[in-house]
Amino acid sequence: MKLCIVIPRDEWRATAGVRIRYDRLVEPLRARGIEMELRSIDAFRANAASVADVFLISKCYDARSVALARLLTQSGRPVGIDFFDDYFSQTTDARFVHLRNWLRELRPYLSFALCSTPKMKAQIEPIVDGLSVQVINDPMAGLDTAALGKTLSRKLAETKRTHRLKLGWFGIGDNPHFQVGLDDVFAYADALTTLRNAGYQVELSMLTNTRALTPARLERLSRLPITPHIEEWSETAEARLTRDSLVCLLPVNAQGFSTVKSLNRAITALVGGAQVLSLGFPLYEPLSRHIYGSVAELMADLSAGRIRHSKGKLDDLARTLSEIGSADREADTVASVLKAAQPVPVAKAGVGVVLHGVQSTVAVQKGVQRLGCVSALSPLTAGKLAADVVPRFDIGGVVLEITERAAKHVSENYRDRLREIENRNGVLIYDLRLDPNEVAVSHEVPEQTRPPFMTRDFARYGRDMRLTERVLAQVFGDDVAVIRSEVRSPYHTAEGSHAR
Amino acid sequence: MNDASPLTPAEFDAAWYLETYPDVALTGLSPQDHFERFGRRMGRARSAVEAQAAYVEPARVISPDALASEFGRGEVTLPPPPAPVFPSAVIDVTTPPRPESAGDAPERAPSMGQISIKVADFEIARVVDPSDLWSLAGPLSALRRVCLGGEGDALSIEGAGLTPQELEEMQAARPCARVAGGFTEGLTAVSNMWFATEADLRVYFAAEAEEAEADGRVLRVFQASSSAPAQFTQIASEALSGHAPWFFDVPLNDPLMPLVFEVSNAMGITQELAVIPFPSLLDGGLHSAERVAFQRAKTGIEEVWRVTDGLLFELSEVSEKVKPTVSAIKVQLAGATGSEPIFRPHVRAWLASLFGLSVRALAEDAPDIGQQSLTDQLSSNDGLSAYAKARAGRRVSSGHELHLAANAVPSLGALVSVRLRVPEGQGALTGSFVVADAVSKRSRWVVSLPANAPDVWSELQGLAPVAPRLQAAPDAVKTPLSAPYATTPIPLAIAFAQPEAGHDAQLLYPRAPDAPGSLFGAASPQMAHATDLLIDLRSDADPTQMLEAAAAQTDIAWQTVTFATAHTLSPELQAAYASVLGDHVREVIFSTEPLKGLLDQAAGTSPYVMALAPDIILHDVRSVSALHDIAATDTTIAAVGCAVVQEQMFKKQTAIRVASAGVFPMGLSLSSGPGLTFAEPDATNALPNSVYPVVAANLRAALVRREAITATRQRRADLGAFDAEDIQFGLDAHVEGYTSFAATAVPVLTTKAARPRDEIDPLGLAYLGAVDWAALLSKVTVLRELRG
Repeated sequence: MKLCIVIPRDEWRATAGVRIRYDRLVEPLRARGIEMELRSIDAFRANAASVADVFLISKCYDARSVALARLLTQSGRPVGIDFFDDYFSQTTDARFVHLRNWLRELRPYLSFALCSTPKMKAQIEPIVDGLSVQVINDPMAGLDTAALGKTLSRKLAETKRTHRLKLGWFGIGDNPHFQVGLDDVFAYADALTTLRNAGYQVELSMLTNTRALTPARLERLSRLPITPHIEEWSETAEARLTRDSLVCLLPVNAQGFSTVKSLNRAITALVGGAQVLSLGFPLYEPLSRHIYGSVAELMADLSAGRIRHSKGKLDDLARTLSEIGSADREADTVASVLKAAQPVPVAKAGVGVVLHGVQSTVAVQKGVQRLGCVSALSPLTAGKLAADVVPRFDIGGVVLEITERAAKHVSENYRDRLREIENRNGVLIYDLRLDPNEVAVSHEVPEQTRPPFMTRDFARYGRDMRLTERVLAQVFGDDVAVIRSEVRSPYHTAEGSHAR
Repeated sequence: MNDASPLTPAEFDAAWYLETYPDVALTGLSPQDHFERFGRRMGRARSAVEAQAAYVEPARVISPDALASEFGRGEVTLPPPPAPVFPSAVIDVTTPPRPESAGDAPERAPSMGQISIKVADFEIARVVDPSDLWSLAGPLSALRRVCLGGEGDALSIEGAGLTPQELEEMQAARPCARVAGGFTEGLTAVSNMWFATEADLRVYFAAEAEEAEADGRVLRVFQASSSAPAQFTQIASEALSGHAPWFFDVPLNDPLMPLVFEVSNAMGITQELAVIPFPSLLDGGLHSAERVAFQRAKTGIEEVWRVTDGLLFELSEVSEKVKPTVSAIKVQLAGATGSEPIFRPHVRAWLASLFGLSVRALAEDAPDIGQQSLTDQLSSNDGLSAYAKARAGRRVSSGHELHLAANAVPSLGALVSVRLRVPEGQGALTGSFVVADAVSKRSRWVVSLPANAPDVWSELQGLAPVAPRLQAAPDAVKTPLSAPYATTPIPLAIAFAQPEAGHDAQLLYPRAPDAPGSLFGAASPQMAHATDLLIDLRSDADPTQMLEAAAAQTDIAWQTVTFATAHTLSPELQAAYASVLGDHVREVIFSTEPLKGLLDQAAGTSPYVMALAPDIILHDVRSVSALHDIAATDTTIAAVGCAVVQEQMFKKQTAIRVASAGVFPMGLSLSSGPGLTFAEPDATNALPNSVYPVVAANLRAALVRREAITATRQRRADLGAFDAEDIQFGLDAHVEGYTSFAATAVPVLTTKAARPRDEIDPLGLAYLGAVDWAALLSKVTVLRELRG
């Protein structure tokens, strides 16, 4: 059996998430007869089903993954989703409408779902409409107890000798929606004051992404009680930081997005040779025997000349890590989930038509076209997309410009009425006119303004999108599936909201 | 002795000097060189003869004991000070004082002075003469009463024959002596202090001085921690510089715990002493916005001292009979992330150690594991020292609880006040609060809400502003008190808002469009709300988009639709507009009555009229239904207005801002006699996603109770219609016993540019004279913009 994990782009292979969650399962899965491949979503074509037997969508939050899932399901392949982050359970938050819509559109094609923590399962399962979510703990890497023991002892001795306490923080510093990362460091900065006052010369090193270093955050970094040394994150730098720091500071806030996270960061720090100082929400509680929950505990140990994560407790740590996430055990679970996965039946056999809303992207447009879908503009689309279908409405009906590749999917009822109007860079363009007696365009549908005004778009969004969907279904046949592409909130078209 | 002319050998006894001042040998300098460079400035004698001449007669002073117990028996002679043989402090001659950096200052000489002021065993000041204590009485009083928490007895004065309490009692004539001591003038005048980082104070001295004046003087700063408020340590020291500007950085143990500043002379004798009981009042501190709210002058450290003195004065009222008001702090956890200041251990430890207050969750049932962890963290006093844990909840008070939003901290005023009370018969009181920037701590607003919570807040949970509430416990003290007690004259809390107004999506949809239920989460009504529609078409603008959005409103049955026009519209236009609303409308009327005000043209018989301007877009189909939900909570609500959000083009992008969130009283005009002025500030940071009483709802998008229109009709007939019809209606309705509300929880959109309004009470003395202002202001939300 072959498992293909669908990732958003090739660069994502280098992230800690992939390294920790998937790379460690490659060999154990192979031992169970399952080959694993990671593939960027843009590498798929219309023959996507030939790539693997089972597919797992990971962090691909736009219409491309919906179009791909539908294509695979039509070909009899089971498709699953791996929930890395919880952008879905905040059901009243207007910032995530497009992500909830994405999940709603994807849901009919899903056979199974995975996530990394029981807390994530508890939060996600109620909103995925009967889909069972299986917890796959992040598998643990092997522990070189001899080397790690030496590192830990060396750092303790060095700290005692120099009275310099090397403190580290690493991670993604920002999130477009939640205050996490560096914002957590700022919120828990009082711990830095306590450390500073404890009689040690504290040196703080931080690794993060450059995007997070906005002027506002740089100002707040400069106001930390300990002046930090900041470098851009890389896997190598992270290994160096955990090796060199006596303690890694891991503050976690109590919002839902943060409380469902895995134990990865704490484990990375421990395995890298650092003590962990966990502050705020007790996310790392399963590791409590090996980490510190307060500055006072850490200081008490240092005063007594000892550390909690130490040479003598590494066997215990190895057992704990194995209990949390043994690669073999997790591979067993993955294997059983994959072997049990059955493709869901697809209600509509026609071509997928991706309808671009106000905010769609060229990447989505090209991606869905590569998958064989028809890409259609709405009257609200703001970007310049080379779509296959461009409708122009007026009270007298609608005229559709249709490319050659989309024309072959036009319903037989209308195919004869396609009229070739130009050859655009080697692509034949047709038009098709629907008169008022064929389509009910009862209102004015103006062209999108540039720049788009939310004020106007909100008022017309539901009505114009629904009208366009109706026209597309009419022209391409009732068995097409119209997939909406919107990468920004809170545009929404569900019945009962913006109806008419 | 102080002349600077070169010494002849006959004038200087090198052997005596070397023997008398043993530190001289350590410097490697010749005795005469040492005297020229240091001894002269330190006031040292150059020979035994000069030392004898400098001997001071015993001072004849009134003994503190005489004052306390033997008043009227005469003067008491104190023993003379010791012979002027001063062991010198060790001076590092290789490291002269640096004007702009902190450095180690000499330790205080071990045996100087007669009178030692100590906290526990730690000496924070030393004076020679008991009379010197008077200038320290203010700071020492603050130290004893506030800074030591429950350890006030740890302060002692050794060698003066009186206790700190007795010293304080002797200050009865001026019970509120300044905490600033001598740090307000001369060389030691502090020009400003602020938080350079989260835990470093930067002190700025601007006074220039003669070098001789500064020489040998040392500034020391002491602070205790919340885990042991009586265990002071020296956290910074530096030789004073006379060179301005001089900045002195103080690394704090804790940004909230009190500080003691002391300047001693070269002999280790305290020259000045100041206590900063509340460093968080300084710029960048947690309570800096509160200071700005109280501030009279625009800037300056003087305001810090003045506000501090005021807070201490309030605490000085505490006695056996008069107790502080607040007994406990409870936090509303809805929306909390745990990153807010109130959850920080050092904040809770400070509240416990200094005030004996505990912080708990308002509701024990948490909706998710994150909030449950916060509840547990608070109830277990997680992160607090043993001392703070023991002190938490031990305050002897009048038994009132202070309830806060999660993004707020209690104000210092609320913590020290003995005057706050919930009036008899009322269970709770809504208080005013300061809004500050969550990042910079800069002040933004003071928000004062009516003391009696409107019914809308109890019936529609989650729509109350983030206002603090004072809750009377069943056994709260109700005995009459000696001081004049107000209800909520001071801000009870500081609420921290993010500097940005928030994500556009959250501003435009406080509840997501795909969220289940109505705008406020309730199930849809059994029957659609019968509502008349009043459209202000007097400007000839095209209302088509507005009408389309109005027609799409859910749970609304439009009855009579009135187009108020300036002139008769063509039949084609009338038909076009009527057709947009569809067939569901019972009746459409085009009214052209220029002499009538807008509201008086509203035809129909429905209990509510929805007034809309043609440029308004009801982008959320739940908006009008939500206005009904609010209006239904109280029959005295005259109107509920939407927040009007304007979208503008800015550098080829569009940006949104709140053009109106209701009409507020904002100032006073004397242009033709005293009159209140009204404006529509962008109040989204102060009042996000909430409903609150205002002077008037903006009639560009408001649901109006028809009874209120009827009740105020005669006034409009008598006085005529004014340009600012919304304000006129709001004031008329107020006189008739109604209240208007505005709702940032129900935003609507427009692209029409709105001019900032600054309207004067249109009716002037006709009925809302100055004597009536208090009644109006007590019923509406009052905003005061702060520029911290």
